[in-house]
Amino acid sequence: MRKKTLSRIIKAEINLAFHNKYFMISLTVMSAFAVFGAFYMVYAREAGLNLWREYRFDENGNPLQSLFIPATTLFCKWLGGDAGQFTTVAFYFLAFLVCTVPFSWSLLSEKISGYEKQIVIRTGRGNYYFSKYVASFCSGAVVVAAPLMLNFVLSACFVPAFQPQSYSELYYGIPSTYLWADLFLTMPLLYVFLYIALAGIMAGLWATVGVSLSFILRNKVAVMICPYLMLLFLHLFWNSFAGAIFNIYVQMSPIYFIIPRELTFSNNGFIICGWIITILFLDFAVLKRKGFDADVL
Amino acid sequence: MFFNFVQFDLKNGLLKHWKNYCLFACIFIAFFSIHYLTICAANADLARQGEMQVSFSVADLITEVLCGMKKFEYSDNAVFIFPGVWIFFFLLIMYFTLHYPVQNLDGIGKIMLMLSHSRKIWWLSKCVWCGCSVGTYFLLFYGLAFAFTAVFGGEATLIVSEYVPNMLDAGKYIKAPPWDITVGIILIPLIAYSVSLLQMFLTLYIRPIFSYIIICVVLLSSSYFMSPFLIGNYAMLFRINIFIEDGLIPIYGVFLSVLVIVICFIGGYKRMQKMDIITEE
Repeated sequence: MRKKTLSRIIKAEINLAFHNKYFMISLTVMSAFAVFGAFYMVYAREAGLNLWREYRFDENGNPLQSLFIPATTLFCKWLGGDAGQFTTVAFYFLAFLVCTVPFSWSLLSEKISGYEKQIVIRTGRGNYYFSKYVASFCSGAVVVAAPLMLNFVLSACFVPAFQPQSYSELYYGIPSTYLWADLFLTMPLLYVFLYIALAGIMAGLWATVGVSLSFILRNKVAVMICPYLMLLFLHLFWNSFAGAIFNIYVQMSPIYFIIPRELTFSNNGFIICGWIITILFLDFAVLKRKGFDADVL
Repeated sequence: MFFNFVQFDLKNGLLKHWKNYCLFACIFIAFFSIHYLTICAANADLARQGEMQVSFSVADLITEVLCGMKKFEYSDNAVFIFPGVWIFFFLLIMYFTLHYPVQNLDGIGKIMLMLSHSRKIWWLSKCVWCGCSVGTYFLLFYGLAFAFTAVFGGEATLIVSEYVPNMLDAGKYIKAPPWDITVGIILIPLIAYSVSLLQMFLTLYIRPIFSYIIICVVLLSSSYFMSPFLIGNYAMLFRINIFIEDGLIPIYGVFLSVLVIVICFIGGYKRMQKMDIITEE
């Protein structure tokens, strides 16, 4: 009976999370970056190839040995692979802001309207709060992972998926210390899917931080923006100062470590696991103190 | 009437939020402290090598936060590292100026509007409030930079030290010293005000969160593309001709920001005239 209630309320909350205009707009914005990213990349790549075609023979008529062709493979030209493209930069910069937009505000909205009291009485606090977290996680994850997948599929329609070659490593920007780097040369498709999943999971988890903040703050906009500003402060603190001061050259910022190529520092599996555990712990601590131990009436 | 509105907004939208300014002060001091610690560490190295030590000035502290980044040039292997400190500095004040007007219109602002019979005054008062908020933010920043320099024995000058462009990676084509940032410290608050007003204007049409996202994209694209039409470029000291040879001309930044302010002011006024304040959420 209890399990049935939980699954019913989760289903209802997920339905709400995926059928509101905040979700639709967020998904459209991120998908727009993904689609423009694919077309801009195809255009730029074609221009580069045309230039290469003109000069592919030397003065003796021998073909030029070029590193350029393997460097234009799908796996380093899709949105996550080319970290110099504006769409890539904008997508990953906004990912942790946009992930809170679809549904993180919902709990606060229901607290303000009084709906929370009604539903807590009927379904129990545990079921209600847990379903909010699950729905926020799912909507945040989808808003980031689905456009990434869309971009990869779109890019695959135009760019051949050459197997990455070790002699072109310079163009890939993935050092051997980077997480799952060995997969990039052997199973690049798996590497891409793992990073799309990582981006989705981190974005989803960050969306749950917004839900936790709903127990503390009383402003919908603050619930959506504050987690992002906190993350941005941490990001700049680590990338601009702390990394260099402490001589620790590992990427601590989720804004960069979800990107499938190295930016400033190499990422690390333990750091990523540490982040996941920290967010889950924070969510649980806030839920316990402000959700379960507080008087809802 | 107008002054009553302004007084009300300043009291409720600015003075009541003094805690936010305390938080900003802590963040600014953290930025300055990091610069100071970096100089101390460099001086310790220089002393060990028997070389002359370096000092810091107010201009160095301000430049560290407002420098932005050098021009980015896309190539096949290039990666774009966004200017974290600069963008965070601006997003912080944009967040602070985001929700008061909407909050006011959702609450007591409606009653004030009906009693005053003037929507123009309401909008004008919000424009003044926005200017005061941005002004206070920058005054706090500059004031703390001066105070920090006085306390830790730096030079109270607006001339940037010679090691700074190298330390902050200003690029290859920098002008010969001295670099006086007086123009920059006047121009940047004006740019911040125009961007903030643009955000406030957008909130009359769309939800505040989407207006904030648009401003994020404007700031990010300004750091990515060096263009005289992207207003954020004028808010970066490394993009205007104080530091670099082919930098943007500050006076164009003034024209652009005045244009944005005028458009937002008139556009906001027109929108307010037609806006349904009773049913609009």
